[in-house]
Amino acid sequence: MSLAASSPANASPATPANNHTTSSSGGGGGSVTSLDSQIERLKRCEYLRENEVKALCLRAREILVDEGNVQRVDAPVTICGDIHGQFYDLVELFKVGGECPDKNYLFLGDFVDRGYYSVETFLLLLALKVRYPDRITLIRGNHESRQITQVYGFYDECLRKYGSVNVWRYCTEIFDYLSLSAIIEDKIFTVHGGLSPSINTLDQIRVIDRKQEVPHDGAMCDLMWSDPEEIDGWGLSPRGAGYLFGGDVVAMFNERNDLDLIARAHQLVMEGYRSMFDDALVTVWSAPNYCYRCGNVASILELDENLGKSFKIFDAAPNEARGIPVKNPPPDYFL
Amino acid sequence: MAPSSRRQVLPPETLAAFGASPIYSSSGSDDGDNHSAPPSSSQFSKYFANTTSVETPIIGVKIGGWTISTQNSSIGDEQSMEKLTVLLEEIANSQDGANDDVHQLQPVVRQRRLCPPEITFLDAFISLRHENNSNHDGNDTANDAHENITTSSEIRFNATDALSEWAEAHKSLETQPTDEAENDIQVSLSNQRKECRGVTILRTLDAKVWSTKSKQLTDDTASDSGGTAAHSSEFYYDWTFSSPYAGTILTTSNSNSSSKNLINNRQEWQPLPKSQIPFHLLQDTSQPILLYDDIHLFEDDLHDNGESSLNIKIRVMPKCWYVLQRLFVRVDYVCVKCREVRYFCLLDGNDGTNAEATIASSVGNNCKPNVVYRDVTWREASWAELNKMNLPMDPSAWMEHNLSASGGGIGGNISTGVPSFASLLTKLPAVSTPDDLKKHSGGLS
Repeated sequence: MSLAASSPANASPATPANNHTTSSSGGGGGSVTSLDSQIERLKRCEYLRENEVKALCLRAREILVDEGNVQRVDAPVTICGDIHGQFYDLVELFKVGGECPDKNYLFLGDFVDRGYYSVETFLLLLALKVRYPDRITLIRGNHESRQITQVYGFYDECLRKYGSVNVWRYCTEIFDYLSLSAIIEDKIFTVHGGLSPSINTLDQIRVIDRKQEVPHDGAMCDLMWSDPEEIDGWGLSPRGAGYLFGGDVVAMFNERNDLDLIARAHQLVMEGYRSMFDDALVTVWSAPNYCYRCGNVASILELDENLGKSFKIFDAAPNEARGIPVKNPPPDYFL
Repeated sequence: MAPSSRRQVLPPETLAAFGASPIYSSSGSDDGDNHSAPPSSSQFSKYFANTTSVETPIIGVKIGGWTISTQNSSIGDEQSMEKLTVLLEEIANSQDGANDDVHQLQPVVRQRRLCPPEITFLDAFISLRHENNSNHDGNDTANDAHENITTSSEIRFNATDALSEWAEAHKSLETQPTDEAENDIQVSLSNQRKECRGVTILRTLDAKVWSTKSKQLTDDTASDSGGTAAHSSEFYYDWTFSSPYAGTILTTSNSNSSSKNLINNRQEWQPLPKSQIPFHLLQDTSQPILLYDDIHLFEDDLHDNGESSLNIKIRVMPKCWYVLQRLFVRVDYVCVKCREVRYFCLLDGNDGTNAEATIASSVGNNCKPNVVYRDVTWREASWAELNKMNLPMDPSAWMEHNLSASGGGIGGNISTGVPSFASLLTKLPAVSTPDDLKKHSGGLS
């Protein structure tokens, strides 16, 4: 496991001065100082008040609405995969990779669901986005969806923590504004899931109207749901919905769009990352000990200014660092 | 965190009071005879070293002639998962019929590929082994032994075996979807089946939309994108991992130098008219639990279309041991399945107590010591049936690890406090089991 080797040379904290000013968002503190204090609270895993969330989401929307479906990102940058509400492991990620304004981050979606702290996880990332819009990029995963979050935890968590679904509603509205993909220095394409048979060029992604719930089919759905597989061409998933794409598809897409690499997330990998198709595609997974029981390691992919790749592997945060006491319930007399 | 934190074995001195002794982490029992033993755990040692969540790999007890051990593990790494995939594909594609000429002619087309569950705890297992040494056996059957013959019986649960049985069923399943009417003639010609021992190929709710859309797509873009038709792929399998697995039964016979293993899942089980498991004894909480474990063999989120999990719980008490294996499958808005297998064995009272008498005195149960009793219960309901039966229609009600239900605590504690999930499962209608899995049976005496 590599430690966060400090290289402050390329770390240029964004100057607060050029941040968006509050406009008419009203309530809940719009200033940089109150935002900083919110970030501090979130980093301690304290969640924000409902009106603060509302104000934060309004400000985030102003920023996200201007981002493209293929958001441009400069190197150096650190690419992160699924987080899934594992807040303390996100804190660990920042320890390993460097804190946010010091390092430039790109998160590939699936911030919420399954873990215990989807609210704190998403709000921390969103607050960082509002505070340092040029130092962190968030793109949408298939879990940033009204339908999926109602089944897999985020909805219930909001209800439990706030007693109403308002926070869930504010957040899911913001999900609709998240970008669909990013391109780093015109050479590395990043997306949550993968490619789509109806997308041949990046321009075809740029014209998608993304401000909607994740659809059940079509290009936008595919970008968030599809998976690479050792097959020729395109395949249908055994479930009957969702695509599998092979190495030839990736090679053709990369050639046509003059790309070196596709970086995506979406699939659990024991080793934290997995390269496929002669390094034309890589899966990055950033939720260590997924669901608190898989025992997998996580990784982040650091790209230097020349797009040189290095993976940093990390483990789950130690139990002492977590809020919840490790309970050891007695064995039960199950039948 | 969830399953492993609950495992427990009482301290040696407490065990000794009940005629039991502990087995601490050893590299699997005295080996050599484990013909399909789980993969070596050495490949995981580097993760054990780095990961906070892994504890002692093996715990166990010896009691009443039984050697009972369990092992937790992390999920399989890339290499071992690839090995598993190869094994499963070999099983699913193998032909055991000698006259399958039709299949031989087109092997490539008929090739089925499949993927194991995303979360497979490859090294995890539960093993219960009983040794019979004929020289010391005063009673029954081994009279033909002129020399030292040892037979041992083992009941074992591990992911590789569970998935192998799942893959095996695919041999009888159609290799391509035969959507309504479209391929009628071909279907009848090849006599393909849609179900084998409870393994069947479901589709998600979205799949209907997709089957029409993908046809258009094939017409529109196949030529342009360079992709071949996307209406099907060689990945056509039961992605819910609904294995008929009911544990692995292994009988080993050692006579002089020769030893042979018999994997014997389907015979030797005598059907019984009713359950012989004395549930009242199992509810007696004055009996201490000497060893407890809760092991996950695999889990899969079905790509966010539901969940599938295979979980096994064991408890060993002074008078008996008891195992509950549960496969739970939920395909959102499509169906819920629950397959439970219970194993029970009354121990020989080597500490002077006579458990048999205790049991016989109540409810006229004929439970005999050292006979293993097995109950198999399969339950299943479609979403439409849930509606009819007034059962919850919200997928989150049918979650094995419902975080919100456990108040943000540790997932998986379904049976502490109010066993809401477990009791909900009993409301699902029972369905028939395959012929080789009788609802109630006994064996392995």
